[in-house]
Amino acid sequence: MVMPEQLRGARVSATNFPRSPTSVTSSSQAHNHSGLPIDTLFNTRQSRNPPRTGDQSLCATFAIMVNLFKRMRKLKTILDIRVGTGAAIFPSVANASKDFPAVTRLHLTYAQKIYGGHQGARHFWRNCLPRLKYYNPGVAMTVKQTTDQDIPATLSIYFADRVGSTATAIAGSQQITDKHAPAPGAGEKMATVNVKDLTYQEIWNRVQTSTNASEVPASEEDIAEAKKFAAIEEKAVHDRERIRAKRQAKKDQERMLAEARGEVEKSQTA
Amino acid sequence: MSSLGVAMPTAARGILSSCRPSLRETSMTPALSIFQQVRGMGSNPQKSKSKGKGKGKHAAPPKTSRRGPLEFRQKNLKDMEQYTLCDAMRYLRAMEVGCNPTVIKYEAHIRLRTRKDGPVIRNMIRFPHAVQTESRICVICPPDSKHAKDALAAGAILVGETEVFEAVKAGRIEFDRCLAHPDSVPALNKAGLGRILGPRGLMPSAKAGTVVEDVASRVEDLRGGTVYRERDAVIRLPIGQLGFSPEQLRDNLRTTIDQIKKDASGLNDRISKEIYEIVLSSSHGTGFSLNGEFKTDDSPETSALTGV
Repeated sequence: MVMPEQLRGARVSATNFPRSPTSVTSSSQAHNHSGLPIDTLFNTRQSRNPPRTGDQSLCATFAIMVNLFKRMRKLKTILDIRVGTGAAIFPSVANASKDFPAVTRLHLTYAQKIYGGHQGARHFWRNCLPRLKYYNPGVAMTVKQTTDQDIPATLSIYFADRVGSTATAIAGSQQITDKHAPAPGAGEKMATVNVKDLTYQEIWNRVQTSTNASEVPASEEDIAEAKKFAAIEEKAVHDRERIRAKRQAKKDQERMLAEARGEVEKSQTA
Repeated sequence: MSSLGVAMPTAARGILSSCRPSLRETSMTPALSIFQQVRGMGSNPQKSKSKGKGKGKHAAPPKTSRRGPLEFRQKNLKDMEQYTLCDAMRYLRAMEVGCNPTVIKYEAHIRLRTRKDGPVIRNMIRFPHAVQTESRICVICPPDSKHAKDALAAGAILVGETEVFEAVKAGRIEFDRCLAHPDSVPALNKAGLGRILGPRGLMPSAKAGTVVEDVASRVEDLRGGTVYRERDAVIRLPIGQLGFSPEQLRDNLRTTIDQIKKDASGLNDRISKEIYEIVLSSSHGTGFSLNGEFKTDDSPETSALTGV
């Protein structure tokens, strides 16, 4: 998993999803599914075309469709939901072991301001939770932001049946309780980890060791997409510089003209 | 040098040439004089030339070329990646993770193929699964009046005068809509809440239709349905809460599309509007163009796409 970190180097958008684009693999399988189609409602001819992916569509779009291109570029942020820190699958009921039972729920509590060690928890939410949610759509994840700055930032992991052994080891050093965390349901056990003063990477490491989540490696296409967009970013730096110089030259010329005009007027009046 | 001359506005050129000797005596002269000769030949050679060409070559009437196309430009969606409903929901739910599932809404953007002029679609819709959890409505009217009782019966959650003002001033704004009865308007203005409620769009005013005599019926109207209208060939409306199951969302989407089709057909015989693309997004998520399918084999179970 080298990719995620490279991706992370990119910017973080307003919603804190680093933007980088990708091809879409999941939708390429979107052929007629007999169960409950709603396509009869749409009169779009495109509904039966398998969507195209990758370069070809992008280039075509770039040439002719500004608006759609913008939308598609924005859509590429979903690469960062698939790839990066926290792209992992929790053990489910089907493949749970004795040491690592199935994870049923996550709850994160942290304070509104970042001082006092609440930064990592927030970053964990913004960076890791979307990926965890994408790969574990059935695991409920809730976040509570409190105004009470003095409480510890906590992450509660809910297990089916029993708490995993490593989770006990990690959470067990000092027992803390999170009053904002929802009460565990029947057959659920929870382990609350203090995540104060930890970076989101450290939080993720703890989550991973305590749940034995298996990381999902980035697919070939995702890596290729990420590379392509890294290259675009790199080129954008040069392009920005070039355009800036161009605009500056134009401004300089206009300024020069204005000065000349001023001189002329002066000489006329004199 | 010549390029400089071309780039200059006419006024500047005139000024420059008039007092040429004082500025640049030698180098500038030929370029400018040549240019002026060309200008002297016709009033504006470039313009007339292009005009003549246009008449000869293009049969398009000049009217449309000046005003642009009569229809909204619709791009070919061939290159747009499209998703099934469940896949789009999976991504959107990942983007909205940790947010309140009743507050965050799925939104539909229904793009139409339509002319730029002519009537627009505007209507109200009632969904099979209500999108507004509780449109929390506050009614400002004298607390022990008949209106207060009626408003409460109609489903307002907060009714009163001074207690409402106190709550708002303390920063507790626990309602999404605010109505006022004309009798309470002087008190409302006196309380000086415009500064707090105004930016949130909650300040009652007669212009916005939120200062009304019959408070109770207005409360019922507001709780009823979702109002939508077509703007620039797109109808945008919230169609579900984040906690909805894919089936619920599908039902709402289906109802919406059916009604919009009905609206479109009911407009006018000569006006044709048809649905061209449907985009699903959420409060903070990106837009996913839907391909009309419900799910793929890779999509997670629908039960997994429900709730928080």
